[in-house]
Amino acid sequence: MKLPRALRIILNIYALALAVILLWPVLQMVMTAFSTDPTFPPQHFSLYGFREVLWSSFFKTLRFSLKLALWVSLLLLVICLPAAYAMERRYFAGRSLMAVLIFVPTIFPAVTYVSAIAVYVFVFFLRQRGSFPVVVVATAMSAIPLVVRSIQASIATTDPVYEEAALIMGANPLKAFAKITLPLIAPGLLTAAMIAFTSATMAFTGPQLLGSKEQTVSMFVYDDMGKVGFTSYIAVEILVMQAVVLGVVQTLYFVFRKQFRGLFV
Amino acid sequence: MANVRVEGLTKRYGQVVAVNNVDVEIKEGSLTAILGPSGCGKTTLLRCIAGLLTPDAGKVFIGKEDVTNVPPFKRNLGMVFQRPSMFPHMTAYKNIAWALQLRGWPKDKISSRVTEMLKLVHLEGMEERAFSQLSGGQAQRVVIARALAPQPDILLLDEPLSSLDAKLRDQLKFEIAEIHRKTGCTTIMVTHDQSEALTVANNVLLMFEGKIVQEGDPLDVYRNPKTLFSADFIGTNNMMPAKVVEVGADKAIVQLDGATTRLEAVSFPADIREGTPVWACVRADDVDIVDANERNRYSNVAEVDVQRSSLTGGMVIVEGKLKGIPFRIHAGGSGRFELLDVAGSTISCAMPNVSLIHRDQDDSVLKAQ
Ligand SMILES: Nc1ncnc2c1ncn2[C@@H]1O[C@H](COP(=O)(O)OP(=O)(O)O)[C@@H](O)[C@H]1O
Ligand SMILES: [Mg+2]
Repeated sequence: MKLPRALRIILNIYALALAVILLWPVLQMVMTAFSTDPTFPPQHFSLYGFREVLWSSFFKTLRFSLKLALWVSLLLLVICLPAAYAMERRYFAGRSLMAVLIFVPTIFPAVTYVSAIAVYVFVFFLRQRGSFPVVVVATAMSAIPLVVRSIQASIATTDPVYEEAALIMGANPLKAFAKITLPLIAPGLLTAAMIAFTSATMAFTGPQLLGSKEQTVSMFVYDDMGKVGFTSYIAVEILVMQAVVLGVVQTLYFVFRKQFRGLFV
Repeated sequence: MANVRVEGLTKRYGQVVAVNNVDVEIKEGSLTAILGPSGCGKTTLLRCIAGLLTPDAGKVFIGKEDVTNVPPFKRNLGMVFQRPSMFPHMTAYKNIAWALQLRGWPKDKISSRVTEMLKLVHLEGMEERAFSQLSGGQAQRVVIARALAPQPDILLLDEPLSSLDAKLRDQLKFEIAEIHRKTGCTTIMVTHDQSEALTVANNVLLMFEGKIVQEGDPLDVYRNPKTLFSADFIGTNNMMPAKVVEVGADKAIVQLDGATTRLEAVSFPADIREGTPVWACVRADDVDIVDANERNRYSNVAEVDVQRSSLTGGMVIVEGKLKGIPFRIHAGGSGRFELLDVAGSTISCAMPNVSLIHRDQDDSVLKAQ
């Protein structure tokens, strides 16, 4: 379809404007991180914010968040892979009920659901409250729908004919799954793990409500902002947090993408 | 190698009866085609034999063993699917080698066996190719090699050629026959393509609405339809309503309804009697145009009033009426072009092969096609 020239130009300008509007806050934050105050245009170039962050316990909380995210993603894979497989490939009684129940966490606003878990832990596992495993499990629970859906989608796009071929060739169902289905869905599995990892690094109220002994990085930044307002110091924290998480995710992704298939074949 | 026997096999999907109480035996070493229109239950029957589906009723035997409740991975079968099923994350070599590993072949025998199998399917030197580096036909050959490598008792082929283009299909069709001749492995091939079944198989099972309606060697199934469906599905048949006037040991005589024309049939159901209403079937390509002056030298000669004749490359199609009944002739041979200008005239036709089918059968079959 060929649009009139004027309309094409308007569309182009619109797309560009939208991109700028979306990107602007990020640019503003980067500029603020390298100056003394949050102004536009930035007044004085300064690395003052970075020095401040180095002296705080920021990196300790960042490390905790990454550790939490790693365990959460591993746990999510272990929980969600069989569930997604069963829901996509097996016909069992209660399959549709399970499909609905798995989406319970998305019915509530995130905070409500996490609060519900916190209450549950308080009632039944008071002693374990605040322990690392409890924080991991609770953080993982709210991400289950997302990860199941994502894995299910990659199973759905893998033709069951491969698994059937393996069965006929003499592989038992477990072997057929491990040697055929798993490598074929590996890229999708990896993507699901990365989604889980990223969302878990940003775990905010959950660990707090569960009485986590250590603070997550997003909570730390939030606290700081409450204390000092939005300064270049906060901008640096957010910038570093984003850069590290993105860096870790991308590195893991590239490392695993190369290795993943090799693990099973 | 073994034979396959299916007893009273039924498989339903909800209300749909996909396979309806089928009894069939597939002989050891044969290449049997299950032929039928799309949706008649061929795949379902094959998957029950493979163990990928559990029948609702009935039994499956491979050799002497009742395998009805044996899972597919313990049945020692090879299978080629309609959709591409070469493992995309393994090379051609690995695809075939894994099949051997799974059947417990010793390491030192695997390599030479893979080479041998690749040679059988004309893929020498393609060991290291992945799925994405092979054409559709080559990938399907890898799957055939993979299926045959561990010397299965039975080879199952579910429309193995349908995902390929016409030319390749023709070529691979003959290769399947060739491979069967070399290996002698009992083979069951499912297809909806009659030319595939008739060319390749040495035994044809004709399937319709979940039932096997006719079985026989290809020529027999082609020339002597036993049911209305067989007559209608394979080739082009002229169906003329008639009544039996005389039944002998190896021939029966019928008279066309509303006419005095009598025809001699060599293929007919055993239970017909004088007066039984039948369809007299004559294949459109099994008709000879004869000189009216010499009509006494032939049996079963009748006059056809030609309405139209048209050229379709390989043959000339003549359409007209025989005693008011629509009649079609597919004429081949070099004389066929003379038939292009017979429209409006009357020609004499000899019909050496007339088969009879009961007329009280449900003729909704005809209308459905
Ligand atoms: N998984 C299924 N669920 C419901 N109906 C099915 C399923 N598979 C096949 N059928 C139905 O069973 C009948 C036979 O199907 P199939 O064996 O695939 O036929 P064919 O292979 O001869 O084309 C068809 O009517 C088809 O719609
Ligand atoms: Mg089919």
